[in-house]
Amino acid sequence: MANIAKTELGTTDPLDICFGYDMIQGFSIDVGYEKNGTIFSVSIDLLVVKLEASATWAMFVGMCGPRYAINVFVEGNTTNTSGGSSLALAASNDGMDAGMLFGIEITFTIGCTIANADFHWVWDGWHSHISRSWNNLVNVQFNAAIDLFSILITVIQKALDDNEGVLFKQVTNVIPNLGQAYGFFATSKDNFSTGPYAQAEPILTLPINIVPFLEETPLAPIYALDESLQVIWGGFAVGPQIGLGTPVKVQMKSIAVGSATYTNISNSDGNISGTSSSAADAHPTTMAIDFEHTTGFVLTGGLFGQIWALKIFSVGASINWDLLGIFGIQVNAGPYDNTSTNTIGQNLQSPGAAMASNRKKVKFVLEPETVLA
Amino acid sequence: MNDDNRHDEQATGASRRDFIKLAAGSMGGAILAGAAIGCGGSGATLGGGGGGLVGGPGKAPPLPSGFAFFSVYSPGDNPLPSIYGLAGGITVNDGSLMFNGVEVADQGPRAVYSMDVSYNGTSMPDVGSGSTLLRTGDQGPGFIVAKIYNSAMNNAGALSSDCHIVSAQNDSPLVLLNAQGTGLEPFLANLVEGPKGVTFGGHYTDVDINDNGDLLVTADYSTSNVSVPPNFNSFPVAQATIAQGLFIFPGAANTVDPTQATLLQSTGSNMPGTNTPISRMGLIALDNNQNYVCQVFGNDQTGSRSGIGQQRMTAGIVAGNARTRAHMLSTSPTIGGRAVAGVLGDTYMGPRITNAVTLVCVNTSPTTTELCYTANGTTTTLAKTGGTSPTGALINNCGNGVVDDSGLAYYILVTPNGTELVVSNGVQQKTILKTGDSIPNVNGKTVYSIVQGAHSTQTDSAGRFSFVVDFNDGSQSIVVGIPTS
Repeated sequence: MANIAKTELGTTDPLDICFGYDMIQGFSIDVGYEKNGTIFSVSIDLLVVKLEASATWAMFVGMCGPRYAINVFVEGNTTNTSGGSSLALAASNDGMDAGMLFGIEITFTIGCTIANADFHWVWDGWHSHISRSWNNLVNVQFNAAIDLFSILITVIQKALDDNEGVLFKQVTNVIPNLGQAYGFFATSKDNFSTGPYAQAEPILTLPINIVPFLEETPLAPIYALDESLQVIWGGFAVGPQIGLGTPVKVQMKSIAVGSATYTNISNSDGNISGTSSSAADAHPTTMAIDFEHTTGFVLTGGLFGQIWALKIFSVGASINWDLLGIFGIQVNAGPYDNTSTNTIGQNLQSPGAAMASNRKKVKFVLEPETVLA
Repeated sequence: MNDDNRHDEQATGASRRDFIKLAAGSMGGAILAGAAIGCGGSGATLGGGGGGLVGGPGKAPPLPSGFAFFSVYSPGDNPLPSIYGLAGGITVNDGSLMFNGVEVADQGPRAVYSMDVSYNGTSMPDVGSGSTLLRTGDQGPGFIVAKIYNSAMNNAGALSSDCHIVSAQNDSPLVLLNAQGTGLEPFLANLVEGPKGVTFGGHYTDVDINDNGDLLVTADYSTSNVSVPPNFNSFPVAQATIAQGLFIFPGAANTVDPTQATLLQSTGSNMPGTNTPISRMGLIALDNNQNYVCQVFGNDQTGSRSGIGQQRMTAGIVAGNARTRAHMLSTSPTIGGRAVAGVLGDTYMGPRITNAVTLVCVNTSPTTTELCYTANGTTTTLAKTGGTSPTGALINNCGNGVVDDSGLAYYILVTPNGTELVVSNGVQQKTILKTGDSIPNVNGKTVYSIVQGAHSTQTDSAGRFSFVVDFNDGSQSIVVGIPTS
């Protein structure tokens, strides 16, 4: 029989998704992704109006995850039995974050010219005639980049208000070339302290016109374009179409104490038990937990753009990105195993220490341009 | 004006005679002779295009023998003396006019106004009280109106309703509904729960409401679901759909319930009868039988398939009834799948529908348009670029117009002489007002341009219609046209 002092197992303390376990093994995204294209481009005559409008975009996405970070304190003992040994632990103060870190910077290049025809009489004796001239009502050409989430963080947080335990917030940026990174994750506590599984269910959808939020941003010209279209009671809208969900469910598959590995793990109200065919170490110094998880993961993305004036005319289009395909992701729900090892009686290392000992490489994906003309 | 952006084009064949014609006398109140449709467009009729719609005029309505035109309001007049200028958007019902205007100056506050009008046969209408329905800067529960976009109003007497898409200051757009005149309240907004797991997003393109209080809206939305089953051997599931939808809210003016809705069309689904997905939806119209028309945009894959490597944006019109299948009323000629029976081309202008009669202005090329009238399953070209107007003028371009309850279409033609307002029943057409004409109760001014077709409901149940006229001295008026027989 051996007593097991209070030991913390899991990823890091405090929790940090970037140093957590991959939800989908083989899909460890520490990635930057660049792409560009055209939302719409038209040059048409309508009634007494000549409309030329185009909207193009370039995007840089940085991602870290999806991962889950987990920690749990356990303490108890092992007891030798006739067939080997048994394990009895009490779990406490456990926590879990699940989700991903990411940021999106989008550069919009917008051109919009709306001219109306003006008819006027040209006096020239018997050669007098009617001439038509085009007078610009709207003429806007510009490009600028923006950190998409910086202007929408309040909206997103409002959207997640009713989704208990789901957070969206600025985090330390570990993704090169990205101005700011954000964490989207679900956080939960006292899972293993009360039952067999730890789970988190974050999901976010974002179909929204961002133009009203651009007045005091680098994309203020888009806001101004929308303002100028008010001359003809029109508008310009552009926005993301993002869907992201990273639910995960975790159980303790096996626990090793010294040289004895305990399986048949059960957890009733935080009282964990297991059995081993090996005898218990008399003075174990290390402990390991094999966390097993399954996941459902969804990631969709796109942009829409639209220009209109009253019920006279409208032009619009949307671009959808197969983000999973872009990153070469084939979602497999698992189950996947990850093992956390620690010295008995010790706490987990901090994210800073983890970063120092585990520098991660970031890869970049470049996609060929497609054009809507 | 920037000279770099001003390019004079001499109108083909225009001469002093054109100017004399342009400056000719009034047609207001005149008795008019009709001309066969072939004069204005190709005169071509095409089968199909009407399937699935409920109702219809049965046969072509007779053209009114004449019209009486009256100016009923000019900016600065009572009962709305604060208005500086009219924007051209106007919607009517049997007892009121709802229109867009700007106060103080061109850059002043913008508003939607309502003005009561009562009619005395073909005499001058009586103008009653006026009110400001909605104004930039107005505050409501949790929002301040920053911009006002599309509006709609129905014809239900004292229980008439109106609805508006507005942009909120530093917040996402929303749809306001004045249900049966009880006051404007937010009806749809970001995160409002809709039917069957739908959560509405933060963008709305267009809105319409019929006389039964049914509301039609193009709205961005999402559905999402995430579940983690209790059994570890069952995997967690996440699902997210982000799209734009065409939603009908039956009886919304009565129920004021955004969960009572049906999703009629959605981006990602194929345009009816084609293999091209809908990429975006635009302008819409709804009639009293829940027939609808909706602009749909697509990404034509023809270029990619043929190795050109480029996609092309297309713009078509889907028509249908809320309870039956929809069909394409017009599409780009390159759209795959079963072709549409109507005229092929891209439709960037707002479609119209009243009593199952549709009016669609198709861009057959970037610089040419063709106005297509579909009634009882037959499509007729009323006018097209290069054709001749009922007055014999060369047609430069067509407007999208409106359709009244009887099936009469009113639309604008742009000619080298200015603009002509034309009425047609699909068989005959007449020019009823044009540049250079006079309005009988407006002295010393002639019509410079006619602004019509900015909204889909510009006629009432008696066939009276309203529009904005810009006069030759730069002033404006709301003009009501009353059929004299």
